[in-house]
Amino acid sequence: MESKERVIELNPTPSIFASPFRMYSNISKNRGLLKNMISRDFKVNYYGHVLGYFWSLLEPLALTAIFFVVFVILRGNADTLLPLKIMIGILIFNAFSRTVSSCTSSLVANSSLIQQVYFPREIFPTAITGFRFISLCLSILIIIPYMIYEDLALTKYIVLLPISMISALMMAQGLGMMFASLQIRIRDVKQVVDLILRAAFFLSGVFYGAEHIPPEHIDTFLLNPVAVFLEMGRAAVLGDTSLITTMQVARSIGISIFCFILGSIIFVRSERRAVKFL
Amino acid sequence: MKDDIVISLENVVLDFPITKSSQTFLKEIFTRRSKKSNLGKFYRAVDNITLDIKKGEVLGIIGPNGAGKSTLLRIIAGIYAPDQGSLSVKGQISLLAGLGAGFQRNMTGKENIFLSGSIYGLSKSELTELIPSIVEYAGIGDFIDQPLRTYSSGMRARLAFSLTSHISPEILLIDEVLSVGDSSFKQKSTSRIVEMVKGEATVVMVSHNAEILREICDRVVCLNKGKIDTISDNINEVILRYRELSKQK
Repeated sequence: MESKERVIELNPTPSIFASPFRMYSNISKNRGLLKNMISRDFKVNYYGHVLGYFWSLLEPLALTAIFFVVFVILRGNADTLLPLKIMIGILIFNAFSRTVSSCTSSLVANSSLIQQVYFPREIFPTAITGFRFISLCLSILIIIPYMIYEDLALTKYIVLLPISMISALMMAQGLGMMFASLQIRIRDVKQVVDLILRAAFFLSGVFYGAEHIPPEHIDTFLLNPVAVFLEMGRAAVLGDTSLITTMQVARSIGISIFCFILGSIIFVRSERRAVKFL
Repeated sequence: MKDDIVISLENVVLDFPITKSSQTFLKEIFTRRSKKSNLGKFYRAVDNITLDIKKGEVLGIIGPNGAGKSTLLRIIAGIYAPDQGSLSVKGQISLLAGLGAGFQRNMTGKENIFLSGSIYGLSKSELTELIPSIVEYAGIGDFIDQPLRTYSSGMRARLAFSLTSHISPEILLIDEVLSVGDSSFKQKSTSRIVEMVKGEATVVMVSHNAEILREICDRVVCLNKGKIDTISDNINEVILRYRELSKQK
């Protein structure tokens, strides 16, 4: 029986180094539950919508149209590939910011369940990330007709697309997990996080991209790992990596992994003591 | 830990915050002058409890309101980590506190069984096996494929009870979820609980029902203000003590 493993730990707070492994083993022991929680999110999110998940395609399309119009009004000119670049930016950034935001409130949002039954709480942020990742995969398909229309060939750089998606969401879950326990004590945390995310929207080049940054500032701009992930996504689709260097990509992926590990340490070590404040 | 002891609590202490709101938390940061003001913010819900529970034992917990019964159960279940002391539990554990954990009104009965069942720690294959029996016991028939929002509250309670009563963990913690539904289902559910308790499992149950405690418990603890007041296998004695305590209030 799979659930035989669910025995209360003698030592509820693992050491710093053991924490990420604890999280990994807790999640792999509860894979079935994780799957059900992800499918719950799909059912709950799309319930009662006539268009179901077409909304996850329509929303980025509509946003792209808006930003394209605004951009053309502001700058006067725009290349025909700009909508594609904006769309990739919006899709990846939205998945990122929603993951950070919902992971931050994941413990508070599930407070009644947490007080009713015990299971490893790492499931909550992980299920959110899983749900966001699958939705992103489904909605990113919308670029295929655009690529065909623009006659863009698939290049080997397309592998950068999944890498950028995974890195962005890993970083998002890590950040969300850092704040989740704090959010129980101080509910204002979510507001601050949402504000920072809004600032990040403008700083990450969602609706312009690195080519519109003055060359003397480009290195500073690409210090932001989220901006690099968006550029990676664009480079993957356009088959042109001239705007980012391998160094920047490696650094950003490194930051993402670091955030994830730090987030899991903070989360695993703090959640059991934070729960009584729910 | 001795071999036959499956739950062991040693000097377990849990302090609960009295104020939970963020505003007071912030105010606390800025206005806190001494440690003293901070001390008042917590109350001791569970105070220095030491308790060993043997394999197969049925332990009842009784006590006036606010004595820390449910909190103690939640500590054993792993929901709250004790602030001091240690706790060890051997075996697969389930807490039945409130019915239908994780039920979603827009999902069908069957989908809810899979979701809630996996929350309680059952695997997909176990649930697939149990489904006919769960549906039959709940007596909701074809409604099982309808969304939960179409259920009457009685049907929902019956489905939830039926699901929880099919969980057979090694250690069962019960927090007064006993009777639900109309009077005939109430009887059915009470007898089902008694049946579950009499099985192999180690059981810790919170109840105010003296009759049930007398019938099924091997030992009863009376808690008062977070402390163990009386503990004995002479159940009548503990119940008398509990009545005395309740009168004092």
